[in-house]
Amino acid sequence: MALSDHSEQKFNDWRTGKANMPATTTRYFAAFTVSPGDSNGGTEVSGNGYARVAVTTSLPSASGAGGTVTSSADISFPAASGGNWGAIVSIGSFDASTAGNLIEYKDGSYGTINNGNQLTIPSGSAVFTAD
Amino acid sequence: MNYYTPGKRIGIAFSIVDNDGDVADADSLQVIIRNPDNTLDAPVILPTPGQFVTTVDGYLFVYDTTNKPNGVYGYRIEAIGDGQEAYEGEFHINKSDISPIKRYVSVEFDATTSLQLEVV
Repeated sequence: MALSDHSEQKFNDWRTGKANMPATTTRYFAAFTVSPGDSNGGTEVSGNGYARVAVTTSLPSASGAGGTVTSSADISFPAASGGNWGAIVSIGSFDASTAGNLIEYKDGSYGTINNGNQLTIPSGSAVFTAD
Repeated sequence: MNYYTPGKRIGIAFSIVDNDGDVADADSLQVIIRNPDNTLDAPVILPTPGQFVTTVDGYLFVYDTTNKPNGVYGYRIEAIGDGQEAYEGEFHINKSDISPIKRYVSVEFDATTSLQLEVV
C-alpha cells in the first residue's frame, strides 16, 4: 500500500464517520530520487528545469466495479535542462504544485533522467487501483 | 522572422548609435524575451556573462533555445542609461522531433486496503 500517512488518516476518518474526505483539488505528480515513504520524506527532484506536473485533466473519473482509473493522455514532466535529475526511484501525487500534502506514491525503477531527457508517462500507463 | 530548432544558441546582433549614426556605448542595456505564451522573462541586463558579447559593431545577445517550447518569441533590446534606443523583433522556434529524449515509464498506484476486525 502506497498511501501516505496523510491519506491514510483522512481515509480512516472518512470510513469511521469522523470527517468527510478533503475537498477535490488538482493533483500533481512528483518525481523522487529518494522515496518519500508514507511520511513524505525522501528527496524530490529540484532544479534543472524540474516542476511537478498537473494531471487532473489526464485522469478520467473512476468507473466499473474495481474503480480503476487509467490515464487518458500523456503525462510529461518538463525536460531536464541545465543538468541531470538522476535516478528516479519513486513517483508521487500531491495536492499542490509545491509543498502540499503527499497523497500517495509508488516506488519503482523509473530510469535515469539526464540533461535533455523528459520523464513521460504515456497515455494509459498511469493506473490507479483499489480493492 | 528567423526559424530555429531547440538546442541552438541564437545570436541577436545589435548596436546603439548616437545622433550622428556612429556606434556608441550605452550606459546600460537590457533584453526582454517574450515567450510563446506571452509571458515575459526577467530582463537580462548588460553585462551578464554568457549572454552578451561585445563586438566591433556593437553587441551580440546570445539566447539558448535548449528545451524551449516551440512557437513565436519576441524580443526587445533597449538602452536604459543615457543612450535611449530600443529595437524589437521576433523569431520562431520549431518543434523538435528528436529533442528532448523522452523516457517513458508506467506507474500503478495501488490503494489496496481491508477492514480488519478482531473477534476476542
